[in-house]
Amino acid sequence: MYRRKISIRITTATVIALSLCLLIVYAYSFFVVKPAARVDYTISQNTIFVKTDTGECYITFNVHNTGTVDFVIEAIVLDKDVIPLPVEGMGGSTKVEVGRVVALRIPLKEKYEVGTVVNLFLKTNPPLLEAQKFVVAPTPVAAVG
Amino acid sequence: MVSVNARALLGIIKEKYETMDELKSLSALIVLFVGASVFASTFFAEQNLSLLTGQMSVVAMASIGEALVILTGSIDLSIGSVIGLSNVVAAILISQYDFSIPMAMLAVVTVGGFIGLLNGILVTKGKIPSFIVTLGALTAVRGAAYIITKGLNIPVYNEEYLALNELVARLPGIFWIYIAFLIGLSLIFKYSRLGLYTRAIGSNEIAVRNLGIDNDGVKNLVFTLSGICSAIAGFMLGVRLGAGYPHSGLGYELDVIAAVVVGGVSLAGGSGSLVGTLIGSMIMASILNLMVLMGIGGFVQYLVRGLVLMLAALAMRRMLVFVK
Repeated sequence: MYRRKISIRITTATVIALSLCLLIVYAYSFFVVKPAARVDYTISQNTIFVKTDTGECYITFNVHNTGTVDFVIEAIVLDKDVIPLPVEGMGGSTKVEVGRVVALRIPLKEKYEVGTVVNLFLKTNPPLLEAQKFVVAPTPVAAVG
Repeated sequence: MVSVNARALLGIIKEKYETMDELKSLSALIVLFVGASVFASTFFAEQNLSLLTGQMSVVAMASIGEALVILTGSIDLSIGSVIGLSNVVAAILISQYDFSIPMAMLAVVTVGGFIGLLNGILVTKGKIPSFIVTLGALTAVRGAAYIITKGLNIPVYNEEYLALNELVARLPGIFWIYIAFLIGLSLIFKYSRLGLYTRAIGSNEIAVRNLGIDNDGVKNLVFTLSGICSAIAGFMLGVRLGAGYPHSGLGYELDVIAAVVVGGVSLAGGSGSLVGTLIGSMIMASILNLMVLMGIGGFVQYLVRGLVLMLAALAMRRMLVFVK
């Protein structure tokens, strides 16, 4: 009987101590912590078009906000060319709300050779985490009549 | 007269040597250090020593808990997976939920503690051998780490978290965290009844039960402490890596058991000390470090580590016979 009583005491004390820790962590996460803002997105249907008659270039792409916070596209980077947004003649909004898809059409001053592939990267506010910066979208350059 | 005094002195040395498990391991460590000074001149360089202590801290931290479990005559094989799970839990809480460092540590301690307690209850109440229970936990906990991360790595950019790996008194911060836990738990297990009961259960469990001591409670507590130590080790590994990797800690259980045994803890239970695990961990980390400095390839390292472990165990046994 004596042995049984002590046995319950040590194990119960361990369970109570761990439960208290759990309670503290839960209370902290519930009342104090807010999930950190995480910018994340996917780029789709990205193509650079070159008008064969005028030589005019423009890029079209869709951005899907898959993060936990709204963001604004401040610039697009095409290999080494940085194009701050908004630019004149641009179509679509630079603000992308959580879960929404935005389609953009941006005229380009630089000339791109048809048949090549250019890497597209977005500069956003808030920015992507350092580790996500390898997320680039290879964008084909196509001719349009 | 001289001969009699010499015999008496030899008798005292023999008695001390046989009772001090740390001394046997310390002898092996000194031999290793002498070898290191011969084969790799950069071994004792300040930069290398800080790297070495950082490397050994994770295994040494987990060794404390494993030593306690082994002292009771059981074994905990889930250590590597608990390290991996704690590593990713800490990374997620800090990077995605903005937890403060102490709260993230408390969270992983709670997770590790509950896993250890569950192992303990299955061993004591379920009457399942610890080898089988913890082997199951080894797989299940690793699976949990993969599920919550979806198999992806989680980088952590928290400066306070990464600062724990910065040098304090020329050694990494995580090493001092380990030393603080080692001193605290060593004192508890040396001077409290808990330490006595732990050793006694490892020596003769039935006799201890007949004395009215709570075997199951002590075993549950020891398994819980093992889980907690592994969780802190996982937290420390995250500090070193700067990220949470779901596959981190893979195979660490063998390194930890090796460190515990080389540190003088009997696998049969009942004898050994927590301080010995520090020496054991240092021996295992030094062997690895020495091989890297000597330019020995990664594949050969596994072979050499195993052979050195067997040789070290054999050498310690030979030395004991020599003293006898």
